[in-house]
Amino acid sequence: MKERKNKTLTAVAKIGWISAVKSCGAASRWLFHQPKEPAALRKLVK
Amino acid sequence: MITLLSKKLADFLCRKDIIDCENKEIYQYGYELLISDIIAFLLLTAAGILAHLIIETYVFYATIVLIRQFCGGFHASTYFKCNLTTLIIYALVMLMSQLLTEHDGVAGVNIILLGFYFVTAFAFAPVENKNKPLDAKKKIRARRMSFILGGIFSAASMGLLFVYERLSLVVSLTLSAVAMLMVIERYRNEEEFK
Repeated sequence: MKERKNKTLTAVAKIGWISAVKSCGAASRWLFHQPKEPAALRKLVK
Repeated sequence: MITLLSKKLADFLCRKDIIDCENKEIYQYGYELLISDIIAFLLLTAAGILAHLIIETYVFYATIVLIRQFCGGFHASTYFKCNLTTLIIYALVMLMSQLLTEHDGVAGVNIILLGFYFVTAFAFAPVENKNKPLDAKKKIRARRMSFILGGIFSAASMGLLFVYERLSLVVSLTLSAVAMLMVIERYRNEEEFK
């Protein structure tokens, strides 16, 4: 049970990470609000 | 609310030792984007169902989502204003496409709308946002992609003229809306720097 919970949480974390990294090369995220991009992310993707 | 929810989720994962707490800010940012995308998608789906325009709605969504990644353009200051802007632009595109299909000369209108997109993209793309600066390499890539995708959508729009006029207009009107949003943001940026 605990292992399954960990796997699920890891998957949730991975989704968040991919969402952030994928948006890094784009001029804008899809629609009409752009939160401030973390400087750490920019450094990481470089 | 979206910011708070994303922060809580990132905090929770950090507390559970699932993520590196040093990168919490990146995870929070990722969730913020993801949640706002899901909300916008659901909102547009609901609007499409209510208006009985499901295919047109998804074509609008796909066009605006793909092209704005590279063109940039206007951004609202809050998520509420963002969703409101999305719905207003969606409503305008659907309304205009309905009105224009009732008249002759759709092909001519289509060419003018697509031309407007290309002229604007040539002049301004990509329009940077202060929350998301782009380095030179990314700018070149975004500019190139705005032309490539613009070309693909234009070809699709012209092709659709022979099959489904309204859908063709949805694509060209969406592209011209994106162009208009580039002009607005560019003008706002200039005002800010004055």
